[in-house]
Amino acid sequence: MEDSYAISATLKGDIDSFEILVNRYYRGLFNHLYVMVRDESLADDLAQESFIQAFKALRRYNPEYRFSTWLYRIGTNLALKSLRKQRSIRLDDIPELPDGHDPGKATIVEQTEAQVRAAIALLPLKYQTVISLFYWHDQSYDEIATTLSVPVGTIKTWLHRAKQALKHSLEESLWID
Amino acid sequence: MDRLDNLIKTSATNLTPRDDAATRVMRDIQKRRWGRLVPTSRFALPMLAFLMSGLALAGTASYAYYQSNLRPALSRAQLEQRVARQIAAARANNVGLNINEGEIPREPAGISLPSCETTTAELCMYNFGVTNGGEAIVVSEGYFADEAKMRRLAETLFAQTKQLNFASRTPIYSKKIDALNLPLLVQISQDHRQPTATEQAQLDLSTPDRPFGQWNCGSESGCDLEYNYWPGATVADWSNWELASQHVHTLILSKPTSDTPYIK
Repeated sequence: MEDSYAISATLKGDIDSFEILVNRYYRGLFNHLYVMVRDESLADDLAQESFIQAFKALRRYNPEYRFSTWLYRIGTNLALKSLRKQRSIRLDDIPELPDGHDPGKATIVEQTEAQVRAAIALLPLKYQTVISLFYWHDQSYDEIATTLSVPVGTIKTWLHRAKQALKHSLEESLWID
Repeated sequence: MDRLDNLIKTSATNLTPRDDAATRVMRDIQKRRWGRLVPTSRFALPMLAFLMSGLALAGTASYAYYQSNLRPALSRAQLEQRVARQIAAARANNVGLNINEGEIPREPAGISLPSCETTTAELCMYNFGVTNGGEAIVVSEGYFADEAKMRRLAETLFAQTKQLNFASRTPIYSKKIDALNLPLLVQISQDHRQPTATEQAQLDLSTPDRPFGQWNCGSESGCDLEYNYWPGATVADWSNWELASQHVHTLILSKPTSDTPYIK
């Protein structure tokens, strides 16, 4: 079922249709929010709240945009609000390897990916957010600009600076030139 | 795409939500929307049924006592206070309604008639929107026992919004609603401002038979005129919401304002 059909059906009272959207986008949104807040439990709560807010405001959804763009905007705003409340920078913001993961047995690919994730986690939040949306959630510049409510030019600048910072932090270990 | 792009791309965080996320979200949506706690254990449903039967018995007894002992003693002011409390109680139990400007649907002129949204034992919850080219909007939400009547009502309201402006159409509503012979709880919402004396006079539908119109200016959305009646109803009929809800329809008539975002 296409998003537009599920939204239309939900607005007509078929709440089960909304579940299709939840199933389709929950995991992606959850991962995007995790990149922002670095707390699985909080990301889960925020993802859940995002869908609830989307449901409540569904009549305001503008079909000119992809549903996912609108949803990510809601989620991103919730994450930013949550982060503003925290106010402190946590030392354990660097992502940990999954439970049961033995660094000694990790493949080179896994180690590289973990290094990249760690480097991304050290970037300013706005750069992390842009990277998450652009590379991992396939949003265009325009869509990211909509999600974050900033001009497209700013998004391009942030992405460029984020990549420069990553290149700088990874160039020695990963021979990125 | 250079090597760094590829590295970033393949390093996506890909965690799995801990349990069935969709179930939790949908359960929460149901809970928040309708205010009902969804039973989560096998003991919850029998316990809920037991409590509900107890409440029903207590409500019936209270109503009988009220009918035989209290009704003649209530003054008009007391009756109105009672109605206000009952409306509040109805809302708390999701028989009433809750709206703000953001929930007014942006739809082309016409009527959206949905299917049954959720059910109680006997009634069906409907939402429908009636718009008039973005100028006059009626949003209704309520419990209807009879879908055909709901459709007739929606069509009637739509016909009126096509011809009339907000201020002048209200008396027509009253007549049409009477003609439909439908039990109703009507809430007319004036967003963001106090009503003028003229509007109050125009919108106050109170008559000796239907004495319950009252302005409520405490909500975030501005002032509402709450008004309820059904043909032949008395205030006493509202003393037991369980009884009343078998007859009542709930409507919101809302006037969008110039600062409503989608009104150009």
